[in-house]
Amino acid sequence: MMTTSPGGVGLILAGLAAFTAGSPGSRAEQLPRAAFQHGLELSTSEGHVTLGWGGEGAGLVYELQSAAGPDFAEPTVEYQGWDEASFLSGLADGRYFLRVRARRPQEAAWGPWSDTVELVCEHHSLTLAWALFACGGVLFLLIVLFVGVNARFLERFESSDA
Amino acid sequence: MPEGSTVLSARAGYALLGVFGVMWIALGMYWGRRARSLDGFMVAGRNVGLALGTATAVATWITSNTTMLAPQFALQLGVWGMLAYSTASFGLLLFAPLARRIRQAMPHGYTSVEFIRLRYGRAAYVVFLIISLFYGLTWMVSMGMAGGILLEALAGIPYHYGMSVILLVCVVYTLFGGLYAVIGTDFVQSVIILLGVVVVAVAILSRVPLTEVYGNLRANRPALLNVFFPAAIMAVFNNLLFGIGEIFHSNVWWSRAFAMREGVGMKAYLLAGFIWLPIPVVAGFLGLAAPAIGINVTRPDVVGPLVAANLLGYAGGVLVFIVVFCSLASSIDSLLAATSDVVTKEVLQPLLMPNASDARLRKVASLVIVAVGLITWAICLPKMGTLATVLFFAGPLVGSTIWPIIAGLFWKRSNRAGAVLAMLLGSGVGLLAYVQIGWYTATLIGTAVSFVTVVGTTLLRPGSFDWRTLAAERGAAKA
Repeated sequence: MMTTSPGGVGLILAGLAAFTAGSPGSRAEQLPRAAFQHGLELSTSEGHVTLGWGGEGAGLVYELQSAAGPDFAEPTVEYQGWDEASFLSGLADGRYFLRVRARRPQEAAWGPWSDTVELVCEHHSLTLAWALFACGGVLFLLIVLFVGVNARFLERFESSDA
Repeated sequence: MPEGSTVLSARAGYALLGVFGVMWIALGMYWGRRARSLDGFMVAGRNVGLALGTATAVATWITSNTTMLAPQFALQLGVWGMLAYSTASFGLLLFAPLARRIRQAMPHGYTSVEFIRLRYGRAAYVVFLIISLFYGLTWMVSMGMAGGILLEALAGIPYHYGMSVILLVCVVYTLFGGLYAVIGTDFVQSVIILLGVVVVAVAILSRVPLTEVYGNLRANRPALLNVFFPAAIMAVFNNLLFGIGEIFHSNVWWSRAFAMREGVGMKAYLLAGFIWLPIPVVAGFLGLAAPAIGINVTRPDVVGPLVAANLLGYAGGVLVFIVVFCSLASSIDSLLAATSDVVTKEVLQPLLMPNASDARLRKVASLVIVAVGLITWAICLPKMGTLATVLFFAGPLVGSTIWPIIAGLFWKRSNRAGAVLAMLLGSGVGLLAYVQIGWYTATLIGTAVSFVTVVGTTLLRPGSFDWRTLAAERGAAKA
C-alpha cells in the first residue's frame, strides 16, 4: 500500500499515482460512454427507423453519426443534443452505419464511440405496391358506384312513390 | 427531459389544462341540461340542425390523429403519405347518402350494432359488436396516449398525468350531458380548431418557404419526394378504405345520423367532408418541414406539434396545445357517448334488463361512460407503440365491415352467412397482411376479401330481406 511505504519512496509513488490519475488515458476512462438500446442489426422496408440510446449519467449531450461504410470514412452528423432517440426517414435502399457518443455539457471532450449499428433498408417491390394500389382503386370505385347508384335509385323510387 | 427543453413550462401546461378542462365541463353541463330522457342523452332528441350537424362531424373527424398522425404520415411516407391521410375525407363524403338511408330505414334506431342485429341476425351481431368495441377502444386509447404524449412533449407534464386529466375531463362532461353536451362542445371545438389550423398554416408558410422545404428534402430525404415510394403507394388506398370503414361501421357516425333532423344528414356529412379535406394537408406539411428546420424527432407521432411550437415559439406552443386539446376532446367525448350507447342498448339491456325503463337505461348509460373511461385509462398507462401502430391494428377489422354494411343497407339479396363470413375472413386475412407485409396494406386486403365474400355469397345464395324489419323495431315507422 502506498500510504504505508517508507519515506521518500512513498512520496514518489504517491506523486506517480496522482500524475497517472490525471493522464489522458485515465481521463478517457472517466468520460461518459453511450450505447444503443436496441440490437446492432436493424432492417426496414419503409425507409425509416427510430434509434434509441443512453449514456452513463443524466443530462449528457449526444452526437449521432451515420455513414455509408463501417469505417465511417465520410460521416454525417445526424444529431447533436440532449435527446436519447432520433427518428430517421426517407432512406433509400442501401446499408447505413450508425454510432453515437456522449459528453458532459460542461466538458468539451467526447466519450468513446458506441458499437456500430448496421441498418439495412430494402423497400418493398414496386410490383407489389402498384398491384395493391390498383386493387385499392378498383375497390374504391366499386364502393362509390354501389353507394351512388343505389342511393340515386332509392331517391327516384321515393319521389315517384310520393 | 432537461429543464427548459420544452416550448411551454409545466406551469403553463397545467394552467391551460385547467382552464380548458373547466370550460368543457361547464359547457357540457350547460348544453347537457336537456339530456334527461334516453333519446336526449343518446341521440340529442333527433332534432340536430345543419350547422351543429356539420360542426360535430368536422370536429369529431379532426381527431388527435389528424393533427398528430397526418404529420407522422408525411414524415414517414412523404408527399404520398400526406395525400393518403387526406383521403380519409372520402369516408365523410360517402357516408352522406348512407346517413340519409339510415335515418329513413331506422327512424327510431340508436346504434349501428342494432342495424346489424336486425339485418343479419345474432351471429353477425356478435362479430360486429366485437369489431365495433375493439375499434372504439383502440381509437380512444390512441387519443388518450396522444394527449399524454403531447403534454409531455410541449410542456414536460409527465405522460401519466396529462393522459389522465384529459380523459377525466371528457368523461365528466359526457357523463352529465350525453350527446347534447358532445354536439354542443363539438361546435365550439370545431371553430377553435379551424381558426387555429388557419393561423398555424399562415404562420408556418411565412417562416419556412416551400422552396426551402423542397430543397432540404431533395438533398437529405429524397425518398419523401419520390413518386415510386413502395410503402407510400400502398398506403394511399389503404388509408382511404380505413377512413371509409371507420365511418361506415362506427356508432359515432350512426348516432349522429339518428340525431340529425330528417333531410339534414346528407348535407351535413357532405359539407363536413369538404371542410375536413385540407386539414391533413396543412398538418402534413409540418411533418415535411421538420427536416428543413433541423428539429430532432424522437417520436414520429409528435412531429407536427413540435414543429409548430418550435417555429412559432411560446405563442405557437399555446396555440398547438389548444388546437390539439380541442381535437382530442371532440373525439374522445363522441366515442365515450357512442360506445356507451352500444354497450347499454345492445349488450346490457338484452342480457340483463330487457324490460328496463328509459330512465333506468339513461342511468346505466352514465355508468357505462365511467367504466369505458376507466378501461381506456388502464390501457393507456403502459404507453405502448406509436399512435399509428395502435390505431392501424384495427384497420382490417373495420375494413371488413364496409361491404356487409352497404350491402345490408341497399341490397336486399345480401345474406346473413355472407356478412358473417366477410367480417371473419376479411379481418383474419387483413391481420395476416398487417403482420406479413405492413400496417399500410392490412385494411386494403381485409376490405378486398370482404368484398369478394359478400358479392360471392349473395350471388350464390341470394336472400330476400324485408326492409320493414328495420323500421319496425320500436313500432311506428315508415316502411
